[in-house]
Amino acid sequence: MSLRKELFKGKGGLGGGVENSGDNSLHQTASVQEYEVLEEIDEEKNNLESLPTFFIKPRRKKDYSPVSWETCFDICRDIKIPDSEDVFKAYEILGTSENCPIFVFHHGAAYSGLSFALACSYIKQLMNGGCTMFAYDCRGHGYTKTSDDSNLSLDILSQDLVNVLKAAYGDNVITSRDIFLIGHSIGGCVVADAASKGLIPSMTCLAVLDVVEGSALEAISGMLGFLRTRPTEFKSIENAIEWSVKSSTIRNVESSRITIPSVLKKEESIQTGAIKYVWRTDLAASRPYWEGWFLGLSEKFLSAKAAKFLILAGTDRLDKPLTIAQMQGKYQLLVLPDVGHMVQEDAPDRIANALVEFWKRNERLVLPVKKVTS
Amino acid sequence: MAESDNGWKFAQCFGDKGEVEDITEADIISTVEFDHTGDYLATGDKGGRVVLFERNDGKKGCEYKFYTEFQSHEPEFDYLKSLEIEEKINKIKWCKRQNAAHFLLSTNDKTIKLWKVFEKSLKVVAENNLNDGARPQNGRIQQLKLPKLTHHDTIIAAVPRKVYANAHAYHINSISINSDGETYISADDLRINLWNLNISDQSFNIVDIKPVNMEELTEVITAAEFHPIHCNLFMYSSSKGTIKLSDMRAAALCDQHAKLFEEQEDPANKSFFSEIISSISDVKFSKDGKYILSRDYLTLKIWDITMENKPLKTINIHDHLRNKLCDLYENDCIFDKFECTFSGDGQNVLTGSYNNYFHIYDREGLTDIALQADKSAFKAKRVGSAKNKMLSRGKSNSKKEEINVDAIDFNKKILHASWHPNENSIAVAATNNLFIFTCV
Repeated sequence: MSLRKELFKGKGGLGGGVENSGDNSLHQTASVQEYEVLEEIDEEKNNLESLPTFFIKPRRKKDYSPVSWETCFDICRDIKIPDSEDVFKAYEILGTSENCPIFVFHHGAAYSGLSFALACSYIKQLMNGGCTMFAYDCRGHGYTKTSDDSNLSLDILSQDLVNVLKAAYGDNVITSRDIFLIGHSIGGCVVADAASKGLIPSMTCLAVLDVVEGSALEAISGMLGFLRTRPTEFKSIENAIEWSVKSSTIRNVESSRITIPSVLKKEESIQTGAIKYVWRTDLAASRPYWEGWFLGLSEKFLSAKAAKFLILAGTDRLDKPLTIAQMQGKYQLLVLPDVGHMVQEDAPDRIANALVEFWKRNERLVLPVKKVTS
Repeated sequence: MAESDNGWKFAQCFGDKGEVEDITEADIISTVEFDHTGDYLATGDKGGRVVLFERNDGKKGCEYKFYTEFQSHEPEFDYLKSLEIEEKINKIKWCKRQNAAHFLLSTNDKTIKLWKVFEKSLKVVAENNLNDGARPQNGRIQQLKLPKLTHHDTIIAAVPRKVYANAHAYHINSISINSDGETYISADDLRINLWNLNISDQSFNIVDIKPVNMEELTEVITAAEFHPIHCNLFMYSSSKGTIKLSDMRAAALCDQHAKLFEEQEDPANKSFFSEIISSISDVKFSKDGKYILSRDYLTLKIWDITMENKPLKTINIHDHLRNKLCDLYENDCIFDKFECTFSGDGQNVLTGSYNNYFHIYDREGLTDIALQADKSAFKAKRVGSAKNKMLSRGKSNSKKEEINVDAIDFNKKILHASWHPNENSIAVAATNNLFIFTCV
């Protein structure tokens, strides 16, 4: 509200009370914003030639250029699994201490570890070095190369999770360091499966993002149709980013700029030399594994021996076992309004806040040992 | 044959002529300014962009074409106060041209920037030896040639030369470049600062009306301008309907005015809204510096700089709104800040109104030309329709206009306009469209 308007309306005008929009302009002090004088910026702007002088529509150019993982993650490394040909791409933010807890992120189908980029950068600010964050591209996705990219069965993916963690941090990571497993969509199925099988004993917290067994199974039939409506190729990465934002697949353009480059691969046509970008993961080909991913998800999630957190986008519905368990208080539920399926991309700040809060509340409590005098 | 009225006719329209409901807020034009020659026209919008137009010399008559555009300001966040700083361009002022490049000042609520706009020749490396990638047949040394830099394209580049930041705690409403070409003032609600164009990390505060206790605040500064000829004089208007002319030679802090232009209010007309509608939204000097033009909510006032107690002429712009002040207070339209401007020769004045109407009056206030910056303007030009959207009222003819007050669209307001310095052409901002009208 402008100062002038506040003069009249703000202080008891014609019945218009003070609109407290948090605008403290009446008590302003000079702000201490730092601003460096810009060096000469070369702006290569194309001169719009011969526009009709009568009507011109100056268009707002939205920035759809790709952004590097470096803006969010500290390290990007290839993790080779011993005794195999599999090399997984992983992105990390290291915590300050050697034995600090690890937040492990598993992305959903057809995406990559960078899906959690923005969320991790927010968590980094909140946790202030108190934890290590580890997000990797799973089999057949992103920049990971395995001997069998097409075998996306749940058992293999869960085993991959354990193998990658052990290869990245040493074999004893699954027993000695506190682990918080976070999985989005299919990733949620994987972490729930790993948890229920007890593959990671030192896991203390488990979070599943936007996947519910009942709804997912019902949605399978529509999936193939949906996949057909997706474009199969893009002229450039910018086009792909623009598509993802405009089709509301990823509603947050900042996140899309980081994620999309990693889910595409470049293809060059040999005859024409034309370059196009196609999806890295052939989701339709993974059809045989779909039921396997979701069957038993609710039960696995509920039987995991850890603090459990379920985050849903506004639209999803809980199925029967989850509803009952919610009433019994077996897990914490958070519903985020105004987000799409890519919850951690659409609202990275809210997800980060929720996860950190949950972690802090469920941290392993180390009680001082009471000396017993005999 | 185009519809014309008193010689004024529609010339051009820039923008997306869609319905007002579909307008992208970032495209709403927030300021318009001709440069000192009239060959260039600048507009700033709510999205922080500056678009420049250039006079099309090849064509006879008044025609402008797109020249360049650049993003002047970005939205910022003030972390200390948890407030967003809008990127909307409040004012653009051109510097006098000294060389081939253009310099202009653009400002948002908090930061002023000096932009240099110039033509840049892009060069590319040409005449490579292996242009097509093929290996030369026989690599003879005599056949090798030095690659040359050749001119490829000319682009228009805009570069921020200076950023004058962190000097205003309140929202900047005006900037004005001094006739000396070296200094300029920037005014916010409570303070006016004097800058040197070459120094961006310091400025002098020359007017400060902030009360010690903000609870006692009663008046804010609404506009400020340097005198066009005397580099030591400047004026500023306030929300209480006063214009103060100050002399910088008198003291370092110019809180004491040299002249105070205020018309005593007729007690009979006093109402709850008197103070609000007396607030001056814009104030301008004439080019010869002898007259001052001020705009308050319902009227235009022309002052002689030598006579402080009353204006030479008061012109009612849309007096029919006087009975609707209550509704206009409810929908906040009573706080709309209309700009005003003199013509280049000082013989006419221009200001805007609602429903996309704007008015041109002569200095005596005897003639009133009302034009509408609307789709109808260019439809009329093409069809030559009998739908006479252009009205002409003589003052002596006091026939009451049938202005249906309830039919006025208060969302379509002409707040910003600029008059060509040397001819009778005007650029008018109608929400997201820029209209050019001309009389030549």
